[in-house]
Amino acid sequence: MTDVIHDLEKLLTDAIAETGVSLQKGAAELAAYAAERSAHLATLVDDPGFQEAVRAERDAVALEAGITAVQQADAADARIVGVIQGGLALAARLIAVA
Amino acid sequence: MRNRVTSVVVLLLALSCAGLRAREHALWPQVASTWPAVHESIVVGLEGGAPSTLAAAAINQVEGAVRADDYRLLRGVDWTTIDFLARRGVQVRVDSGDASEGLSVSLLERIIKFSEAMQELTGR
Repeated sequence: MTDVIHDLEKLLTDAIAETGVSLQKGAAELAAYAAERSAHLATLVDDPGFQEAVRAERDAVALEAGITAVQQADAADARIVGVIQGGLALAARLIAVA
Repeated sequence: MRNRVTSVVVLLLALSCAGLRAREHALWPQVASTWPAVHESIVVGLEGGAPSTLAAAAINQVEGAVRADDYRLLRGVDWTTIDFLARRGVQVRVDSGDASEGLSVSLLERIIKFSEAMQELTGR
């Protein structure tokens, strides 16, 4: 039984650690994208369409943030399903030896 | 032991469906607020002509989803046609001198991200 509890705790710990790494990576990639768009905007300062470009780039970065959030959330859901499946398998082991 | 396992499973189930929540609260509001600008580009791209039946259906479907504030109404939407027409609108503006090449890069980037967002929302 102790082994089963230990295995379940490791399953949860690993899932949380993976989520943390994934969130950090997602935030870093989003920041890099925003910096890239800002760099392009800097080239348009004297362009008559500068304000329109600012609005377009603002929308692009906001959409990318939303896309990143969805992809992170989908990955988290997949990990949760994995943890539940792993947990159920462990519970089955527990029942088998009880 | 059984209570602990049950508590953990209930907690995990409560935390799941994060993808649905992210689509509804993080991505969809931004898609809805970007749509008017994309729609404007589509109108320019049509150059005064009427949209094809396919295009009209896609445009009306997005309009309907935005009006109802329900991204699930986007299911099956032909986002590639939306993307094509919006990009054509940018080209029309560049060709007519209304937009510089630099501005067109920003306008196209917004369209690219809009299309990616539509794919995330519709799963296509």
